[in-house]
Amino acid sequence: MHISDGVLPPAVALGGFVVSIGSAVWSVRRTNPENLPKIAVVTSAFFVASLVHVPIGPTSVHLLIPGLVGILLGNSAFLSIFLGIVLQSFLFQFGGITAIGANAFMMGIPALMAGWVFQLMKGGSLGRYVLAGALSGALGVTLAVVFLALLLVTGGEDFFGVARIAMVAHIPVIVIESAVSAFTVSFLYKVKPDLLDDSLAAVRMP
Amino acid sequence: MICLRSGKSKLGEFLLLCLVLTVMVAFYVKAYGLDNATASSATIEGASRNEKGSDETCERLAVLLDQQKAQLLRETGQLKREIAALRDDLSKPGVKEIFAGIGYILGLVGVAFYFHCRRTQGRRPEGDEAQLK
Repeated sequence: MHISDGVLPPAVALGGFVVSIGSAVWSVRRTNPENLPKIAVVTSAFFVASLVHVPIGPTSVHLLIPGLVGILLGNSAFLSIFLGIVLQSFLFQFGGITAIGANAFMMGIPALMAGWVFQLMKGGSLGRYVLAGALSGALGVTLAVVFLALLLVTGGEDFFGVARIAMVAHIPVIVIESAVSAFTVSFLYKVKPDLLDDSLAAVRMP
Repeated sequence: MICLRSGKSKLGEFLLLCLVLTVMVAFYVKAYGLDNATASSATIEGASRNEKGSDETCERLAVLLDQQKAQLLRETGQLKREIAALRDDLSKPGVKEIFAGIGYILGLVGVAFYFHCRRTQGRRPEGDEAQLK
């Protein structure tokens, strides 16, 4: 799902970098430094998750977990995903180096949105938490696909065509991710609910 | 031999010599002479057959060459498939890259956490404290 080198026009790639670095700075300012170990673990999970392949016919798509990253990290999610994308690009050659900005934008903003949706939807009971988790997980991937189609439009592709193909290819991923998010949320609710209580309030770094 | 030398039997001596010579000749014929005999007979006999047989041998050789070529093509095709699979395997991220990435993440976040701790604890490095004393 990561965009490779040479697909996007230079203006879009550069714009992607600008937006991503700006969002990363925003995310850093809103990071509670006490959460840094949690951020490290979730970033590692995001980094490795793309190795889990789901075969679709002749090819395969891979797991993304922007939704889960958003649920667990809240406002720090963009930082985590930016770091994950940079390392994936350099070490795994997933996505081109010039497309890092666009890829981070494509994954990071849906993660933030999924996190916000989770914080808004979560409630008192386990069932509501699990439902919120599943919805956020599915929303994360869906929005990522939409953003992918938007970015590819700038390269001259037909938006609805690309969006339809990408969505159809990622339906198994959406199902698996909502299940994974739901299970994770339910497990954390029972074991350590504090991890899910990421406050929406901004934490400005001094 | 000794009793033969006693003079009585020059005939015996002669007969013994003939026996030895016969054995040697028989040995020689068995080792070398027979081949020559069969080879020469083959060439004599086969001269008449060779003109008809050369066409058959040519056809047989052509068939064998075709079979060999097909076998080699199969094997090189197999090798090319294996090379493509190997190239594919090499391009996949391995355990090395996973550990590298996790190391980078933990390292960078660890450094950030260290500076945060320094700021909140307000601790000076050990060297400065020693100098202050």
